[in-house]
Amino acid sequence: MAAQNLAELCAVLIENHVGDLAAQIFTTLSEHGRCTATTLAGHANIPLRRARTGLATLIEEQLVLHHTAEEDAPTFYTVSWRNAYNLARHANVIALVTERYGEAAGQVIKNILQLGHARVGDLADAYDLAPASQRDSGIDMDQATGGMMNGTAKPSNQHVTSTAEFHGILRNLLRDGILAKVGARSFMPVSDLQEQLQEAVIVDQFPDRKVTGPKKAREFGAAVNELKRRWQIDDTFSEAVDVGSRGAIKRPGDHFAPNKRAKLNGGFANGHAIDESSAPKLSLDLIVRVDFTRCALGLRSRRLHQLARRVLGNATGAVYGALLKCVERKVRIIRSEPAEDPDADKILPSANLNEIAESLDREVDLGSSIKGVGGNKHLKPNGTGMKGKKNQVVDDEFAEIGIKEELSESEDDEPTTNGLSSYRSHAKRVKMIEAHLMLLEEHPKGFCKRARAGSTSTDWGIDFDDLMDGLIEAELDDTITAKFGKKSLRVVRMLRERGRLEEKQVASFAMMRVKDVRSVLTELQSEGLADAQELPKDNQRQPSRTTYLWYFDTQRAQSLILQQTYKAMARTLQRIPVERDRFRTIIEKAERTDVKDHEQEKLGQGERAYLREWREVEERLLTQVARMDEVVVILRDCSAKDVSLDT
Amino acid sequence: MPRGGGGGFGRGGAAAKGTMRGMQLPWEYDPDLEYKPTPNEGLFPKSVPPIVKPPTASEKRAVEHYRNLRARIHEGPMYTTLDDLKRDDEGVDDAKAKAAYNPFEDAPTYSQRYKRPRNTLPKLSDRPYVKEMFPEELWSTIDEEYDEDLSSAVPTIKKKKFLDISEPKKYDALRRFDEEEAKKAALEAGKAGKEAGGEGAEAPEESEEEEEEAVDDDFEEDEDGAGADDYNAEQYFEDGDEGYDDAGAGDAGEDDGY
Repeated sequence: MAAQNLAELCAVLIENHVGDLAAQIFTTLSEHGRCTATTLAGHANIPLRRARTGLATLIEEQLVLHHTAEEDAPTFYTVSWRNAYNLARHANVIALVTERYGEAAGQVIKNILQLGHARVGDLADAYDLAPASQRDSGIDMDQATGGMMNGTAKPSNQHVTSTAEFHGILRNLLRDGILAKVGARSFMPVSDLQEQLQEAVIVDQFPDRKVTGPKKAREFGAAVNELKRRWQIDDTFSEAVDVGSRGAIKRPGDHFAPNKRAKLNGGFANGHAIDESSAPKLSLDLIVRVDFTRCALGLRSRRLHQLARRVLGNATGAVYGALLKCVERKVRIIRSEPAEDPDADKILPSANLNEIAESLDREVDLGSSIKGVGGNKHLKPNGTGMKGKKNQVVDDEFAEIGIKEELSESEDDEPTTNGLSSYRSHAKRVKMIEAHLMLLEEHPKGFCKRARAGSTSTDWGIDFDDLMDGLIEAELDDTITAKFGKKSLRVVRMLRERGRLEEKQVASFAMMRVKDVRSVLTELQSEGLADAQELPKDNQRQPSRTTYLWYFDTQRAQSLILQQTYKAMARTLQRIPVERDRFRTIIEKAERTDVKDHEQEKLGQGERAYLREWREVEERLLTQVARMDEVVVILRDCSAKDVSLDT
Repeated sequence: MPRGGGGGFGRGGAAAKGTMRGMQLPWEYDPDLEYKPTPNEGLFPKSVPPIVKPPTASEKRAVEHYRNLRARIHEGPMYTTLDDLKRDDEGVDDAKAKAAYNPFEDAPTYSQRYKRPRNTLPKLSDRPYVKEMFPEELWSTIDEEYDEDLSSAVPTIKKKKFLDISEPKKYDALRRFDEEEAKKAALEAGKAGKEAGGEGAEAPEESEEEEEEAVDDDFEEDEDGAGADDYNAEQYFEDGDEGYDDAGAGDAGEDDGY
């Protein structure tokens, strides 16, 4: 059972997204827990037909999960908190995909989000049939293309024009995990899934149905995990299984698709062999949805990239962005499972220098921010300390492979494709990238590490667990500063550093008067952020003979602020209809079917100004929701400690 | 944790600081601590709400995408709105409906013809579904032609259904207000840079004409379709109607604006 704030937020989100009826059903279902359609209709006090229709729309978006234990058994419905919350992430997800994969992919994602899940064949049909609308959609999107994406991103086409392109986009998104394959298990509640797993193992390996004793229990656990992994592999997209070669139909039972294919290729006998063989099509039976876990990973990368850029400058930020991109492809899950052996070296997700160099934008001026390292225009180093030393190292290494600095400088100006010189410039680039990575490594936040400590290997990894702990703390600090001011922040940080402290110690460490500290601590306590532990000196437990040790529990503060964020999001979203009511008459007028698309002629100057004002108000509110969602990504999805949605 | 006493000291006299009836107070006594009641600020004390930072360009883009998606969903067949009356039951009985009648807005008017229609029940039948993903009891809900007894028999040839993927432009018509504003801002900047008053006055008109032309282009097909259908009375009426509206609103707008 999720908390009240989340329930409220989800209800608001669903009302926004699917409408009143669905919101009513969702709320009823979340209040009463798992139940059948008939019970649900009774609780919600609506006719069964309405309840069923509402449930169908909710299942379409996977906001409600269902399970039927066996044939003819009643079907039970359960809400899915995680999927319901994900409705708030739509803005961020579309922006992320558009930024990385271009406008066309953004359109595809938007369509899939709109539909919840969709069969590839049906999607393709819808696209093929709407060439005119496709053309229209491109008209006013031109200025929306982002100018800041990395060079490796595809040139952003406005819209999907060919079947091959459509399949290409889907394949890209599936390979990177933004889209996921949907199987029947995606619609089952986690607890039922677990039960089914255990049942399968018992039937398979424990015919006497007895799992007793520690040895058997361990065997059982191992078997369950094994089966779970197998199911997970089944459920993930793989190029080998899910790509129907040459667009052939796999299941003969499907009577939709063959007609379509026949129509498409009917004109020329060998049509698809020529222009589509290069990009094998996806099986048309494949069902896809947007994988939000994966998107959270992307949002985390974006956040880290921004942070690095802010603290270390553009060039270093770009290098870090490239590293993140390489690493992200290799990380499948956002949270690492707790290691079985805490002493064992953690295997960090890592990327080779060459990979980083490949995915880094050629345009980035690597030499500009580190003095002397790349330096087309920069002079010989005369600085001391770290930078000077590093530069010395680089210079030496250049000397070792026989490159004089002057020579490479001249090559920088006129790039040639000559083998040797291109090798040289590549080597130089890699060196510079490494210098930037070292800079990142030295930063107190520890942005990245060499994959094997101590060695000079060219693999660089990122320890996300440590990094995220730092980010979470920074997020909490931001919130505390904004709410209570700098004094409170100072006290909180000290409590976090030093553990449990007495009031007087707090005062002396924070260099504040005891009285001031007292008021700060009391305020924090009443907000639930700090707390005091009582240590009585005698049996009487008299307050004057008791020591109070103050402490700050990061995890507790984290979940507290998470809940408050949910609440704030719900309030912000609820504000939109209130604001809308202020502009109700003009909005209704603008939405009239005869006025729509003819606003220029049919609305007066004042009315247009009024509408514009409304658009701005709504934009600000929605922006704020998107920002708060980023906080949720950090506090909930990226944190190994948060378990609020693991039920 | 309370520290220091509130009222109770006075009775013991001057000697009794930090004690009560000769007994040591159970908490640490702080002679400097004073009780300062905060002056009453009224029921709603003044507070300055924090103002958020204005959205950045990328955030604006994200919101734009989201609005676009939302507009599509709201126009789609799945989105439902219920009147408050209809919340508890599908049918509204007459008495209730009469009680809720608003003489100012509910009187049927001509312009209501143009009101955006609202769904009260999602239309599920217009698009294909992956039936296996739904529980069996809902199959008849999502597919009206589905018949439990015939399901094993030969599948009948049905009308093909398509997913509704519509062009975003039509749906988010309000979007052009943002653009218009940006354009206007650019124009004003240009105006300031130039100097000539005449040129400045002409420029916006030009842009408006361009926009109208663009709109015309978009709906060319629609108009053609309407033109062919001479016997459509509604269409005929709409055309005449629009002509009047155009003249009136257009004139007024131009006079006001420029």
